[in-house]
Amino acid sequence: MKKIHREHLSSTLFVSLILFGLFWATRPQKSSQHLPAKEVQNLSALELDPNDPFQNRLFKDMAATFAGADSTRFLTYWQQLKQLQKAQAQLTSTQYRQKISNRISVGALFGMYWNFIWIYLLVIAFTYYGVQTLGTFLFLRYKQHPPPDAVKILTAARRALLNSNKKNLLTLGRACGVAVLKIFVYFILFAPAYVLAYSIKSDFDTESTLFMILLGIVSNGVLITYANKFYHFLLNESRKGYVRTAVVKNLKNDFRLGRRSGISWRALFGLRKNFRGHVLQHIFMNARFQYLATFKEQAAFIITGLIIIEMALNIHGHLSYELLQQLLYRNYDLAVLIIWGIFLLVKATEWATDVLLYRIKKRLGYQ
Amino acid sequence: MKFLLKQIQRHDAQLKALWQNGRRRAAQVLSAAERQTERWAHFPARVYFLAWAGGLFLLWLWDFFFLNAPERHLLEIAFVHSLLIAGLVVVLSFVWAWLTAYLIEFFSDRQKDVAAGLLHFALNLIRSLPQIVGVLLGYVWITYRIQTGHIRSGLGIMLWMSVFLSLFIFPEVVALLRERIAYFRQSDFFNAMRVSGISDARIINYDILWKNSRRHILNKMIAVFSSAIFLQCSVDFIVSVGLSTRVSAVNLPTTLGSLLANIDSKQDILAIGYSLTHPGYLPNLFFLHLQGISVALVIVFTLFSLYKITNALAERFRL
Amino acid sequence: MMRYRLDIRSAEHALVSIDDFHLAPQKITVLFGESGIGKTLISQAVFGLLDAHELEISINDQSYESYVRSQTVRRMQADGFFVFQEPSTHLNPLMTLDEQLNEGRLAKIGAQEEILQALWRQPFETHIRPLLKVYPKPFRPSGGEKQRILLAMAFKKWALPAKGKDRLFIFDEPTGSLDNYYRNIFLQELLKRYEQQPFTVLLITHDYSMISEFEQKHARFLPHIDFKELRRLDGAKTQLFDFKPGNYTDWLKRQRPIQSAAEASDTVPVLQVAPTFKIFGKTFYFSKHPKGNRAEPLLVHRQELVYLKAPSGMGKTTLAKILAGLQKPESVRFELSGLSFDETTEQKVWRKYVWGKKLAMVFQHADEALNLQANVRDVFKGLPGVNFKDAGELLQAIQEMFDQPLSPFFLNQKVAYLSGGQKQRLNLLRALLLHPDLIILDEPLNGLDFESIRKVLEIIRRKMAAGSGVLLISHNEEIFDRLVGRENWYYLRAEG
Repeated sequence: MKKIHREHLSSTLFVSLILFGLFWATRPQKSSQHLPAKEVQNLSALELDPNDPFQNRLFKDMAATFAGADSTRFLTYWQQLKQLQKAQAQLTSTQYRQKISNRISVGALFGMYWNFIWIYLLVIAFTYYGVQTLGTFLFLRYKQHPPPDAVKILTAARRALLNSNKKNLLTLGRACGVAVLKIFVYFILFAPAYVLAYSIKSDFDTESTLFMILLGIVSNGVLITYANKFYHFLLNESRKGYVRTAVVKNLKNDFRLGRRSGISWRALFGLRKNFRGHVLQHIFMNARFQYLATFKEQAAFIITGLIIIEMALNIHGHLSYELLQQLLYRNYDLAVLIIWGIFLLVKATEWATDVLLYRIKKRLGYQ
Repeated sequence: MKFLLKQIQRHDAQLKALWQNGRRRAAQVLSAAERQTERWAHFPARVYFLAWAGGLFLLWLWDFFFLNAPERHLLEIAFVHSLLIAGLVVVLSFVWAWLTAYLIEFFSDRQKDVAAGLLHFALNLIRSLPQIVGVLLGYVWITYRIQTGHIRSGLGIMLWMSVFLSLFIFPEVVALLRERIAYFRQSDFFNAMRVSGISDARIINYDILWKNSRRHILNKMIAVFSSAIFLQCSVDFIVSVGLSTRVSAVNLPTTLGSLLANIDSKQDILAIGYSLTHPGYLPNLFFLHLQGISVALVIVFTLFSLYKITNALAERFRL
Repeated sequence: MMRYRLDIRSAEHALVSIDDFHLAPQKITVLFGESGIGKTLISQAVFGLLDAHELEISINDQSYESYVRSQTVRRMQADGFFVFQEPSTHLNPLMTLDEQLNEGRLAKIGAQEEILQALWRQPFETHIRPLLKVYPKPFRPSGGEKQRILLAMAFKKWALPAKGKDRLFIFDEPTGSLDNYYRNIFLQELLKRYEQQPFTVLLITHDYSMISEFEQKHARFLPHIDFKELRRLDGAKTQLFDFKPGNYTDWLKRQRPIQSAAEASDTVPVLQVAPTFKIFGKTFYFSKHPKGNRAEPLLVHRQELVYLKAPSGMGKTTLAKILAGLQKPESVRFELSGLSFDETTEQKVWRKYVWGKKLAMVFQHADEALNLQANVRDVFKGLPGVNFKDAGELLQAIQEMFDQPLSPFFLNQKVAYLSGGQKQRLNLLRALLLHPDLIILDEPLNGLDFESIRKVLEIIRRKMAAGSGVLLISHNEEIFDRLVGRENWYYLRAEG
């Protein structure tokens, strides 16, 4: 455990230090901190133009004539005057004023960060449940080995053609309906968040937090990718030897949904999934253990998804939107601050996952 | 009259027989199609690949007839650019990942802990940063270099885009390669070859990664291609949305993501929602809103097809 | 008679096909055959354990799905049991042994303590109860303990009242992880139950020494035992033959110790290991006497076969790995061909001077030691100092070792598709081609049928004559006790 804490703490501190360095290096300079020398202020009051070659030559000649060996000091004043005027010009430029006006207070950023954290936690909790439920559902469907939808439609069409009774027509309708529904569901599950959001923007409030959470779960392929991963864990585990031992111990081995001898819908949709007395319990617990190990990767993926949603949908007042804005206006210090916050969130998830896995392994006697 | 009635009845019977015959024939065709589909179902990866290519071709054909030429040309360019970038990402991720995985093994075996630790640290660092943020920072760098005139050609820009995308994707491939190596290290396989005097380089590169893991790697590279398309579209969309409204745009190559962020495409996508509540408007989507719909369809259909291909390969080869 | 016509194929190729696989009801069938020939697959198919959707299976000319759904198979599964080989993978790593022993129908029987005590020959409270709280992990409990847990499950199932008259219990390599002491206990327990009420037993094994055990200690059961051997005919086609126990016992009686070509005392040992070494906090020592306490150095000379004996799980393979530089001990000292080694020696020394040059090791599982995805030719690529001019020369070397003519296509064959015996011989050949000073053989007869055993022993004999010293590790005592002179036996023992 100490090793886990040490590793995470050291990398967190190291990266934080680097980011802090970047933050410090890119923060805007305040003019009051660099007041020019009195002589430069006097020169400035004369409203000279240091870029004018004539004035430049004149000043150099005067310095050489009156100051002699000390003329280099006056030439330095002339250089400083140049820099001062450049800085003043920048301060009055539109871009800079825009940049300043687009800066956001650290307090406001913290509020957004807080908001981002709880949205993230909610998405991760729902995804955790959704991945296991959908993954198990896909696995149970695989165990039934249903024919492909195209075959189902063709079979139903052939039967309806040979005997166009109500039953056959209904079967054909159902087969087509299921296929269309699947296409629709797959479209939602694979669509990037912005495609989905823009598709329904005209009819829904796509900027609400609830919608963001929903998008965070189902879009960007988060749910389907990890449900598929979970399904493969289940599939691989189901081929392992201990499952066969469970079968010969006469645990239930029927994978049909809703059957007494099979898996109940309640067990599938339950928050704490329990398939006691069925070989699926063995498969499920081992698959879930492996799934926990991928949780770090999933967390990063979810955060990526949330950032995409906030940025792409231009949702004002959200952390990632601000990150994009501050990058565009080159307020790199604020961008670094936001990235640091996101880094800490990813790190915290990784840390917590490692601790959780350590505890489970310790209970199993691996540590 | 009787004769006429008889003729009609005979004609009716002929028609009926013809109809029955037609139905039977159609049923036979369907039955053959059914058997063929079942046969295809044994090779789902190939079927999904063909479905992807075929689907995109059909879409192009539709666009050829119903989408105006300049917009269609833009769509074609965006598609090629996106595919090119994703392809480059695949190549770069593969090279970096193979090199990194091998170096980590090499340093660990020779107890060069500092070198191995540094590589681990760099990998962890990249992983700690959400991919989208990393790629976005990369884009900031690219725009800066474009403004300063260091990157000029479109191909150069796409190459740099691929570099940054692959930088944040390749750790996934490293993880797979290291997992494969670790798996074989655990068994007697690795040790049995070592004590026979076979070099570690040969065992890792040839026996483990090439002979025993190329299917896994191929599958991963398809997934990387998919990730690259997704990330690239997302970043391009985000950057295009932000840049188009606030600051002067830098000329980045047109990709599917930036094309989707285009105001016309957004209008087209918005029309989907409208037609959900106004079903009568639905046919217009296929004729009046083709640019946005096509881009969205290419993205989603590509992601879906690639998912199905990797899934089918994983199931077939038990990866 | 329970008769089965079976054909099993995967998407890529045929796995096994047999026209008449039969089991005599209420008799014990002991089934021999080299590994990879399909014994496990056939027995699992008969017991209805294969997935009809992952393999193409036809059984007695009906589909496997309908066979599995049949009343016969349901009853077979309800009343019988299947003990799988490789106990490590057949226990759920996330459940305690106790939980796994009391699941499904096994929960209905309370004779657990008695069964476990009989298999352990240890008091339940002090030795077994603590073990039951453990989650199975790769190294703890030991392979032997896990194996006995699976056997306990079978005996618990046997204790349940059965609905059907004919009960089938299949034991697939049930003694693979047991030493002879526990193997004999298992046989005793099995026969005790068989005597109470005969039932059908299929016992799959490679352990030919079981024959001697039956003949010497359980002779009265011999009329109830059928010895069979599964042999490959052509490709995946196999056939069940009667195995005459006399073939083995007569052959065994004819065996004499392999004579060393050189006088051991005249030569410098190729390997000399200090009398004690320490690993996992335990001190081990070598002794020349089974019950002796005097630690002696382990010596292996050129052209000499030295046999290291120890109970299963004692650490024989661990010692071999230490000598080969694959595992770090807490303390050890040894000399190998003039080079000195201890616990501080870095692995690069082995890499530079030892591996493939002074030492070669043949690992016990050919399936794990060879690259199954490579072809035969690839197995010999990259070996230091081994260069064949052309494929013909390589083929000739393999033919000599295989003692049979081979087609040139053999070089292009995928290792995965070779028989267990062929794989083990390739495994040996790779090490022998290197001409090292010392060869460590870890269970070289693992997974072999009788024919392959004889061929492998001949190869070892020939290689010794060529000049290498051989350190042999095996729990197949019956064969090696005859082949190795008593003066070359060493016992590995732990202190305390």
